[in-house]
Amino acid sequence: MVTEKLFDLWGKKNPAFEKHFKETLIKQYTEYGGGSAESMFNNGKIFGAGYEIYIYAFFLGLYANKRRELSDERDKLGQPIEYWGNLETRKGRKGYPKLREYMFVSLIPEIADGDLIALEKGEIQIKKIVRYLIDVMEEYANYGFYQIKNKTTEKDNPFYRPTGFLDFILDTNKSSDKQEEIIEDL
Amino acid sequence: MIIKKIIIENFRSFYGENIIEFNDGLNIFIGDNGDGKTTFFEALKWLFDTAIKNKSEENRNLDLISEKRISEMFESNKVRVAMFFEHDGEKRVEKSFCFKVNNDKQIETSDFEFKGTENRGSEKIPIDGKVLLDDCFEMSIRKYCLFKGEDDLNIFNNFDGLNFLIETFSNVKQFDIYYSIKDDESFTNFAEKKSDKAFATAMQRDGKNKTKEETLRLGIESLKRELNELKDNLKKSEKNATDYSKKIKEFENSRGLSESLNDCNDRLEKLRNDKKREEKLIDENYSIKLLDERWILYHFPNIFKKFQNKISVFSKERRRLEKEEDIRKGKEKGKKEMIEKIKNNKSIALPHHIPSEIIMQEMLEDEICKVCGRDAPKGSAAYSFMQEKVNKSKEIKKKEIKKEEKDFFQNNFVKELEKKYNQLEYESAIVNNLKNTISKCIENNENQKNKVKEIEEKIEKTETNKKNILSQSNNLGEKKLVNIYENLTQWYDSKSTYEKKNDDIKKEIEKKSSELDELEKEYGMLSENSTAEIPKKIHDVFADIKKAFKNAKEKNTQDFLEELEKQSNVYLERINVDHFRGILKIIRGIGNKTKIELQDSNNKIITSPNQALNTTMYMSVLFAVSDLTSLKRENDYPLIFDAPTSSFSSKKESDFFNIISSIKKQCVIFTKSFLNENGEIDNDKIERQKCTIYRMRKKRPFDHLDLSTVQTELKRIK
Repeated sequence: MVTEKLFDLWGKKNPAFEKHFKETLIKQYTEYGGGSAESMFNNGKIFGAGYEIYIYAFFLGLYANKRRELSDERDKLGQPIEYWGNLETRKGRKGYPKLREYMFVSLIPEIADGDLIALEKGEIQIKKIVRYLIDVMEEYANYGFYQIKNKTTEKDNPFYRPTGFLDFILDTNKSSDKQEEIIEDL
Repeated sequence: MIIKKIIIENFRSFYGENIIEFNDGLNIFIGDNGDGKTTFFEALKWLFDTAIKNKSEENRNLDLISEKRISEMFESNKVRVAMFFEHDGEKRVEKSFCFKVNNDKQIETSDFEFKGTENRGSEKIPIDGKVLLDDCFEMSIRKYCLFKGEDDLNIFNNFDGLNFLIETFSNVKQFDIYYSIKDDESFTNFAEKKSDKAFATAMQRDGKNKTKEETLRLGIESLKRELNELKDNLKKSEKNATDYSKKIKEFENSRGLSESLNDCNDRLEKLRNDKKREEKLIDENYSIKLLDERWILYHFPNIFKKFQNKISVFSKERRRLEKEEDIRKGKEKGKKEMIEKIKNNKSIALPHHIPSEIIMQEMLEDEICKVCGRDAPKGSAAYSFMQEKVNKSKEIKKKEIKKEEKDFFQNNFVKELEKKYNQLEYESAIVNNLKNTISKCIENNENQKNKVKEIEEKIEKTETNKKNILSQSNNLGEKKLVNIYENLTQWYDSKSTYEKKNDDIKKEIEKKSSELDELEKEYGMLSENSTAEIPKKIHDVFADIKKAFKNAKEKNTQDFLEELEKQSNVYLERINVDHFRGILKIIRGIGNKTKIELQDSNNKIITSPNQALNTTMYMSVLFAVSDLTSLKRENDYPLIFDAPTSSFSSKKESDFFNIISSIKKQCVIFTKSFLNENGEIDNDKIERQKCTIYRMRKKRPFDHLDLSTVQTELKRIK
């Protein structure tokens, strides 16, 4: 009998993203890799750690109910999921570890019923399920990243407005009842 | 001096030659803003200015030249103001300079002239313009002749203005060679001192009552020294009090502005703090709130529902399979028991664990069946039965353990997921309410921003007020103006301290003077029947003469001021028919400083008369001064005012002009009066006037943006 929890195993993973987003989005909007004060000032960093925009991108894909397979050129986030949102020590911020649980449970419906039963019976390895959850998560986030990227190429980049990121996600209100689709190309 | 004619040529808006005839009484020039009234006034002022420093400086007056004339690029032109006037015969004074535009389009001036002519018979004698003007229209009188606006009229507001007037136009000046408080060499001072010294010498020589004489003399000398010291102290102290009075006077008008500026600054500081405080309450870090406040879960309820369904299906399916398995196991177990029963075909055997394995082991060792109490020696059937039962029990137990290891569900992730569901379900209300939370936060921020905007508008308004206040402060500067309010309080305190000190010194002087009188009387008595008696009498005579001159001078001054006051009140009454006017008082105060005040019939000082009353007060004094000086000089001079009646009501203005025209005095007034709202002449009002009236206006058409198209036209309309 497996004594480890699915959530904990999932938490130990460092999700991947398409490498080019590191320069075009992650470094632009977050303090990924400890950006210089000058670039932070000039570019107006909106998020803290690199995973913050990743979370945003993930929810964007999740709410749109759209996933996009990652290309082969990939990079991984520096911190495993289990540390995401542990911000107690950071000035002016509030920790949000609970958000990890929401992300986790949002992935569960993606597992086929049969696989869940097989997992319970021990007929399928847990690491296979965890890998699957991470893959799904990466694909949702990947879709989200492309959405953000498209938006930034608009004439008046909305993300430099205080309500930019908020409006964008509030407007992403596709019904999650729709059949899930994996988008190969946008 | 009576002005007969003025010629103005190429002086600012006066293009070409403009000839203006004057009558002996009131001459009114009516024009709207920018029509040239002040330019006319400035032309006269320029002509009357005899304090020319040097010609080159005068030549620099480029701003006096008509722009229109410059634009026409004539080769040579002249700026000229000439006055023809009557003053012991016909005379003329003219100031002019030439100008031209050179190849670099720069203006060059040359040939500055200030010349005059005097008609003697049929001959015109040339005289230097400055000399002629100073002779006929002396500088001291000019000071009381040209006034621009209402503020200029308060020339008597300082002590010097009136003292100068008294000294120039009363007869007190002629007393100066006989008696002057400032001049020890004036005759009576000199004679009194010398005779006093002669008397003292005679007393010492006489030798009679030597001791007493010496004691008294020394006492007198000591008292005189003390008195001189006290008088010096009094002078210093009075100077200090006066200095503070001057400062107070200078800045008192700005006290209100200073107070307003301080209020403005306090308000600005408060508003800026309010703004900071309200701004702090704006939290538009919405992107961060998506994570920190979990606003990103806005659309999560649908996702959660999916999770809930999944768990439900998963859990149900698991339980279904479990049940199926149980049934299968149950069936298998029942089948086995049945086979066992058929096999034994007797009674149903005890379960394999009764008696327990330990008991069975014990019975084997003791070779006794402790169930029936009979012996069961090794090799017996009973022993073999017990042996078999123990082995079977062990085998079943082994099988059971093996069976347990092969449970249908090896894992229980459903439990973990159900737990997660319960945890998140617990806080679903918060997530479901995010819509309200976000709208409320945005609404709060919008409200805060509106509050900040309102404060910013208030700040802007207050800053405009502040600018207005500063613009009214005669370029005092903010720092100075801010301090005025505080300084004035200190200055009032200091002034009061010095005034009290003055009173104390005066009392001391009075006391010492009285002691001195006593000693001098006693000293004089010592001279009786001595050789010093004659010198004493001579000194007494000189002292009496000095006193007489002193009193005469004071009386003369007082008479002049009383006459001035009386005459001023006559004018004040005439100008202010049907208006409250009060009584004009000319007050001679400490150190012979003189000032003008308005009082009511209860001798109460009217500290802040309205502007119109203030103006008429000063005008009354000016007319009175003009009357008195005319009497003394046997020659009148004109009074020229630029916009003196701005604060007058329409009725008061009309009355004012009628009264002025009835005064036998040449007055020149530049005014906007008699124009209606459209800038047109009000003919009814003109009809009622009995004087010469000119209409001044800009020649049409003109370009609103081009100064070189502006030209003043003058037309006599009455």
